[in-house]
Amino acid sequence: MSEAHDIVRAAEEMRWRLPRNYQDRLTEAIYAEAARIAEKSVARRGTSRRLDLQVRLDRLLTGPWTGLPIIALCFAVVLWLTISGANVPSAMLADLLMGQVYPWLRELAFAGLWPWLAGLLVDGMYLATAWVISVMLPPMAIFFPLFTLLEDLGYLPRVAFNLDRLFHRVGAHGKQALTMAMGYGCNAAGVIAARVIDSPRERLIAIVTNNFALCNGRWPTQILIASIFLGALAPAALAGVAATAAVFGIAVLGFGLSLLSSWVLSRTVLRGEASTFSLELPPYRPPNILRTLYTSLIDRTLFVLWRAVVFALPAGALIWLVGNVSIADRTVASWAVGGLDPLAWFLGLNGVILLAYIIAIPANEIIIPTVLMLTVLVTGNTELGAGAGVMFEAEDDGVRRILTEGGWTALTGLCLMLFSLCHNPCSTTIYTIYKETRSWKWTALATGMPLVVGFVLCAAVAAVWRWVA
Amino acid sequence: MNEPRPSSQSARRHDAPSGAEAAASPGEKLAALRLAERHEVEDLLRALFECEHHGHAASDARLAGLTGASRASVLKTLARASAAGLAENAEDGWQLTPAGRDIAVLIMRAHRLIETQLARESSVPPSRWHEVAHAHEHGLTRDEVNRLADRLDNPRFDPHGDPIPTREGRIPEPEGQPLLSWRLEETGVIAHLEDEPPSLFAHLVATGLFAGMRFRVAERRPDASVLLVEGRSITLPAELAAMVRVRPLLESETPPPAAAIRLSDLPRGAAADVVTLLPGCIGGERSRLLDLGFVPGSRLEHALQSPFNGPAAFRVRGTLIALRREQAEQVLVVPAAAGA
Repeated sequence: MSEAHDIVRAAEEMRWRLPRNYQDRLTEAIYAEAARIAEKSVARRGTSRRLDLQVRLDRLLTGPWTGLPIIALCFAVVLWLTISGANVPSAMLADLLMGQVYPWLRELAFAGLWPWLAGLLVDGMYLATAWVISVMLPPMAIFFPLFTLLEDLGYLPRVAFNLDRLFHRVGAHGKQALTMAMGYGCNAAGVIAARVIDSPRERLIAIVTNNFALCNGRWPTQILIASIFLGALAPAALAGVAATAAVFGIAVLGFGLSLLSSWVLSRTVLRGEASTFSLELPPYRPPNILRTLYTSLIDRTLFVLWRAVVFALPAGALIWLVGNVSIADRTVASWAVGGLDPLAWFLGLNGVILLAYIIAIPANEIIIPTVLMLTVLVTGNTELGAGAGVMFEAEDDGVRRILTEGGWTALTGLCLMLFSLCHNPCSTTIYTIYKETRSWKWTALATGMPLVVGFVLCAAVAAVWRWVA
Repeated sequence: MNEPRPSSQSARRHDAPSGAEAAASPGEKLAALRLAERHEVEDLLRALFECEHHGHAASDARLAGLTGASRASVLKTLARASAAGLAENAEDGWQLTPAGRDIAVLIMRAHRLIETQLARESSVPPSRWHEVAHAHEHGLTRDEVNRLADRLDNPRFDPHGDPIPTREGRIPEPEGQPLLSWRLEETGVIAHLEDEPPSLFAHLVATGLFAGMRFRVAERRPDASVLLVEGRSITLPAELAAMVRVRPLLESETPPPAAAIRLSDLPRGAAADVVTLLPGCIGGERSRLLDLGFVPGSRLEHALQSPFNGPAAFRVRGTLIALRREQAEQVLVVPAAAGA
């Protein structure tokens, strides 16, 4: 017994005499031995020419002068391909779902059902879903494969490498550059992409600020409004340039706001040291095109689209109802627009825009059709509309006429652009944030923060504009 | 004063074996205090333990200095502790009773384990470790403290270099001497960084010093000491140097190679061999670097530098790994001779 006691005692004393880092020494010895064995038994074939090419590519893509312009160029090309390339398939889908299936469904429904139910189902739920699919599917089906292609090529880790310093300064992680880039395609996908960040604190920052990356659904709104209202402010020859500069300015503002809000978050609710950053920069490889297409379509595109459709159905019903249910001779929409007008005036917007942002929460893509529908409904301009509660789109000139009749000015356009950048994420993204964080608190913050920023920004711009004008 | 405590936590914690059923044990008496008073008593017991450990006489003035409370409040707390049978007045100052020492050691163990956990697993900055640990050390039961120790793999030293009392309550004799009395040009090891006051400790952390680093004093001026710490020269103002305790190298330890530099100081395009990962690189980060191949003996090459002086990429065992400056600072390397 006493012998056992002595042994324990001796062990106890020896414990303190071990070198401080003996555990590391053990690990290091194991690694060193592994390296020695590998050195002896692995034969390497000379691949110096390919390696040389890799080194030169790296010099170019991460160079202090070339790195950042190449990133900008790359994303400009991807976005341009996405936005312009999506037009044709979007129009085809719209023609199929709204030009052919919709009248057929409508006839069928109105023949067999009560008119209100047929309207709710076809004019409301079906049409909203058809809109979401036709405007969301093509851009995503272009953006996500392009993005996956860049990923496969090995370029994306270099982007994180180049931009890490910026994100480090604001207390975030370099990989947030990747989640933001993904956010330019779709914020819900950007939020999911934040899984690549290991530190929970920095992952939350990436999730909460992702909404400042202007997603696919908002680019068309920005471009349309910029060309109708802001392009018109410049001389005709420069209209295109002015509109492009305005959209570019909004995107840059979004990037800046994302950094700024990361900085604020990492000094307030998400306080902490910037964690470590050890990123492998894989060798450049030719991508596997088929696998890229398959995984990006299945994992990203269809996944996001499915969530959007799930939210579009009830929202479609809601949109139809506000346009068709009347209380004391006025539709709910007209009551709501009237009620929101004072607040909206303060923000340089109008009640129609705010109501559209409330009821078209499933997808940013259907904001413009909803705005048009509501404007026609409120101004009572029946010759242009497609019926109460029925969303539609028009040519630029038609849109300009409808909106100008609705009392829109350049200020409304500018504030709408700002509000489109800074407002709550779409319901798909909100739900995704909840799924990823499992916390109502962070979901509420991610939803509320951009909205507050948007309110402040729009109110400030409206006040200054009115004071100057 | 003897109102029942709302929480049963401390009753569970101080479950010191009590023979008598009628008379309350010291632990139970402590548990019967109000929460704020209990914390004060526990802080005081720990201060008494530090005095005992370092062989200082525990006058109420010294205790006031250690706990940061006023002398009047220290006297009041001492009265409570002695009423509970945790401390007693001896001829050369106050002393712990065995029951009091038991609690003091547990608090110290909890505090140092929590600091270790913060250093390894959280993104809480070093300047706040003490504050956070202090806020949590009173809330853990003995079982919870032991579970925490198990989960951390029973560490022996906290991130300041202080020994963590064992489960049985044992702690080695204090070691080391003040840095200011260390001989010039002799290699030693940083044994302990004093974490009070927090404002100065933050400066100390910012210099890059960490317990366990090897150093030698290159120059001693009246206002500052110039140290050579693991391949880097650090000028330490006298008020910071006073917070550092040092010890001689152990038999198993060697001085760093003369040519050693930090990986972050390696010029672009140069190659180097890893000597060791420094002690400041702990927990998950350490194992990640080891996993990536930053192992003693590995040949590295500085391949790329990102814009704005951001991370640098190093070629290790055929892969490119990007590290931030702060991480590259934790790797000690010897530059390879040109052409080697």
